[in-house]
Amino acid sequence: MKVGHRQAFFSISSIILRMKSLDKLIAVWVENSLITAEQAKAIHLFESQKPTHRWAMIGILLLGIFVLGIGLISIIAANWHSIPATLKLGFDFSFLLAMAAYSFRLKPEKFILRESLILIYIISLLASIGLISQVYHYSGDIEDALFLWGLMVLPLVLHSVKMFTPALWALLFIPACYLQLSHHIRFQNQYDLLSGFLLMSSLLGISYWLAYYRRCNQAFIDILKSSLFFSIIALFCLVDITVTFEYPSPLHLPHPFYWIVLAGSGILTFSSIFVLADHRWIQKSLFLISQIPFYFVLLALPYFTLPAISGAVLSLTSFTVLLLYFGSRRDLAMYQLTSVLLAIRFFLVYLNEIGGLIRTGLGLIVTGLIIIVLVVFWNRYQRKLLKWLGEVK
Amino acid sequence: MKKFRLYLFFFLPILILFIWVLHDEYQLRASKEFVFKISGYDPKHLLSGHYLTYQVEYGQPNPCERHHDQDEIYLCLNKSKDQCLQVIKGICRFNRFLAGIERYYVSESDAVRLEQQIRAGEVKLAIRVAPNGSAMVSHMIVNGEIYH
Repeated sequence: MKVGHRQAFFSISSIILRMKSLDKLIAVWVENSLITAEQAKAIHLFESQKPTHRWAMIGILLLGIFVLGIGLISIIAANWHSIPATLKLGFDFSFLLAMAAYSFRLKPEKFILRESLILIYIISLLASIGLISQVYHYSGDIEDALFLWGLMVLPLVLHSVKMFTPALWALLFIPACYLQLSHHIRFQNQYDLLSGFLLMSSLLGISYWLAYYRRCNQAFIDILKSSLFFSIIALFCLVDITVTFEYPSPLHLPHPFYWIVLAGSGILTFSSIFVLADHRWIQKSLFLISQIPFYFVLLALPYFTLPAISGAVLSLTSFTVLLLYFGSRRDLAMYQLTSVLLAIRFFLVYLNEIGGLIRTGLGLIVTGLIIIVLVVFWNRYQRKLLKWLGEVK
Repeated sequence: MKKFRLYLFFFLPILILFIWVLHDEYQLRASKEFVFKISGYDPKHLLSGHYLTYQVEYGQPNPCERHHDQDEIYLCLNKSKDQCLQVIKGICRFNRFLAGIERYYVSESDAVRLEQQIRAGEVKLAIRVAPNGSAMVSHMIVNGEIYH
């Protein structure tokens, strides 16, 4: 199949898939007299003429980019001692300059090609850091390279329109930041670990707020928002694990740094009610309420030996409220993640506290029935509830 | 202004890397050279990937025995009467003094032979140390000859 025919094939396939689901909807609307037959015909014609996003092509293109990137890194790793270092570095810099110049000169309309080249370019930059480390025999850790890389490519990431480049950047740079932090905090006990995670979440919160108010590219804002929520959820899980399994010894007291980070994070969280301008009051309340059990536990940790069940209570309460928050924000991905974590935690509660398969099974049946009743209740009274939440008029 | 910003976004990373390479080249040429024997501290993991890891024998007592992990310390390499003329900067990690020179990239075909030669004590390491104590690997010397 020739290239032009291939493109046409994928375009037509995506059109057909989209039209099939649209046809079903239109048929239901016509059946219920919401639209006339002529209007249905006009909608069908309009939709069929819309350009498609060719997601299949983009997916294959991305696969090609990543395979190319891994190939580049593999070539560097082969460490060709027969080639002088000067030649290796010279070729590398020439390649980078060529990539940068070509991407720079591309017109913004060719955004798929441009985004792909920017992605290859930033992967090449990471490979170049590896090459320089190899030539000069650096013995740093991988997080040092990723940290430098993340800082170097940040302006390009901010400039990127699609989410692929910011997503790769966040995936590599944020964990590198955390590892850099851990080198400086010198984790010696559970309090240090909690401080590290808390500090990371706070920094992500500040970054998200700055990106939002500086009106950076939406892709970058969305990635930071997702990273922030992932880190909050990771923090809840860490506190749960600490209280349930890894309770700090009464002999270890937290470093003053723990209290500083906790206070700073608390101020940041509670000041979010003033900065989250696109949130309704109920959404702000839900967000704050989800954090309260967590802060309570962190304050009490050094002074009271909390029962192991407190971890479960913390997680179940916070995740439930977060679930409502993500539901009200229509954040499907985070909603699904939170509901999966909630289900896992429920199961673990029964396994740990009740014990025995029969009791666990009975408990899960009861829980399942409660969940079904809640879903039926939500389905029946959704509109009234949303009206009360201020989501609909 | 917008175009200048775009230039910066695309070409600044290359400039940063170029400055880094220039800095390393300058340090290699301008710093003082020292040669030390090397040994492996964990023969099972002496070879990792395509680089060798080893311990540098400075000919002095382990300074990390009196310091905590991650402490930054300076070791004197060149003493004259009561004055230290040259120091090397490093940190303590797992009770070892690490100066960032404990890794040498080699080709896969030479790795096994070099590993054996290090164990036999036939290998030395030439390093370059800047006045501020930061060190860089220059080259390896195997049986009196520079390893290429």
